[in-house]
Amino acid sequence: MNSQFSEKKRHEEYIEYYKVKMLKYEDNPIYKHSYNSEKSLYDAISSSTDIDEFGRKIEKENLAVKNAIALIKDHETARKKLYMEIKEDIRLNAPLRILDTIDSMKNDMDIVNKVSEIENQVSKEISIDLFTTQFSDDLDILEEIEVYKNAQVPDEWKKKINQEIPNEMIRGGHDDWYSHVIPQAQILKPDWEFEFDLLWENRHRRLLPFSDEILKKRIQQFKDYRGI
Amino acid sequence: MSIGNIFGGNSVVDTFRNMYNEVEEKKTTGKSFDRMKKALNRMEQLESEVGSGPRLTTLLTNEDLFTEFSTAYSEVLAEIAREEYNGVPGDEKLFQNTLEAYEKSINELEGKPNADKLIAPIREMIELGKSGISYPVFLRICEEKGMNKALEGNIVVRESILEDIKFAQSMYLLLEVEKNQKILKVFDDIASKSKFGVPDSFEFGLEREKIEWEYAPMIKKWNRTIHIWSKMIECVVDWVDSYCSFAPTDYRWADRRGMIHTMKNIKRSQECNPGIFKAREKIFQEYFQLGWNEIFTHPTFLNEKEANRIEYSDETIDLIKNAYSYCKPFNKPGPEIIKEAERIHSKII
Repeated sequence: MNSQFSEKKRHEEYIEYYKVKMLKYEDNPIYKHSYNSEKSLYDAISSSTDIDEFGRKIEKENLAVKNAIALIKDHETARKKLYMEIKEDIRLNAPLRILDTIDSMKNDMDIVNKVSEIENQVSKEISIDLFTTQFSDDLDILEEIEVYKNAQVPDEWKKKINQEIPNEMIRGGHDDWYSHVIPQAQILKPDWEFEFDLLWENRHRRLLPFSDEILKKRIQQFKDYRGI
Repeated sequence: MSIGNIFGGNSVVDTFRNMYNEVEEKKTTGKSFDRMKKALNRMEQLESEVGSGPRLTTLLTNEDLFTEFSTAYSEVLAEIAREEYNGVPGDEKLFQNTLEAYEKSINELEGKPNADKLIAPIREMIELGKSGISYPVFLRICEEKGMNKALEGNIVVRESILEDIKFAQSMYLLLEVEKNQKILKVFDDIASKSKFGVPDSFEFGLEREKIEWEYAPMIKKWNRTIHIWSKMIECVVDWVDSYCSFAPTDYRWADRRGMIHTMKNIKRSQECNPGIFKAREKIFQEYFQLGWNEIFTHPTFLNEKEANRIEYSDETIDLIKNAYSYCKPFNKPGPEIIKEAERIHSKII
């Protein structure tokens, strides 16, 4: 009798626990899938006569895995919305690919492995994309080269100021590009080359605080500076 | 033994070594454990070849070693859990394991930054767990009070944002202050609208990312503006000072090779700085449609001044404002400018 009573109490306590888990997501627009999934768990436990029956329902309907999938779908849907809104096209690949495959997952290890594999792949794509910031990192020196090349100085100084100083900077730029930047980038992507089109994509363009006209000029200077 | 182990350095591989040691202590065997070991061996091999710098991270990422190790690690943990539960886990065993995991996390946090704040709620959970309540009641109370969020470090997030604001204020980083105040507001808003008053760390993370994104171009532009006008101001100051009697003994032109070279450096500033200045002024105008006079009323300048980051005195700034009209290629500053520069200099030394 005591044992039956304690099992009944345990069942009731778990019903309360699952209710709280469900209510946590209620009316939260981010967690629609999770709310429904938690509701399925709550419905399953509250309609079961005991914990064992609940356990059988979880197993039969794969509710635990579905619950994990629901949470991932909610998170990835929110990430997708954000990255689309802020036009972060490379970062967007992670939620898109996860959402594309998550419903086919049958067990927890598959989910962990697949999500981890996609995140790792996209992390590599982000690292490769970030090599585009080499351009903005070079702005200081591109401006210096322009300043020295264009400075109006007496004839006596023309060679030094307008040629030797900028040429020395350019030589340093070539050396660094071929001995450091390219080998580093090609570890991640063996055929990596600087992609100038990426500079015009919103995620990079928005960080360059000048007009398109100036960007075109700086791109040409960057090519000269880096010997591309 | 790897280089990281020998020197006790903070290599990215250390985390994986710790994870490996943790499961090795449990006398683990099997294919997944072998895969962990193989991935770690390769990490340590690369670490010994290139050291623990950023190149190591690139190589580890490229060979998918993080994923390979983590996947195998998850499998090993799942196997350990299966063996421990030996079938259907009972509440008592689950409860015991949960509390043990919390005890362990306290040990790991000891001595780390914010340890006291992070440990306090975990201790609270352990005390609750040992108070005689059942496992499902414990789980429910943790959910209701958001206590399980303690392990995510939520407790220090708000404080860390406050610290960021304080730091940005002390450094007069106006946009950073504004940005972090927005982040704080978002944190509080999410906390207030959540069911149990505990902010959802995922939701907050997304909102934070959006705010960081919003401010990134503004901060870039702000910093670039300062960078260019700083060089313009320096160029005019050096030009004026190069005509002063103290120039030959000033560090800006001093040349170890001797006075002939020092004098040549001075001559270069005198004759070339106006042309260099004009080229800088052109870039400043092209980028921001701002002219020389507008520098001194620009929010970036006023803020740098308030932050005490303008390395020149107000007198020197007034002087170069007056010197500006002289600063043209092939021109010299007027004698009154040079005289004033020498007077200001004499006050400094």
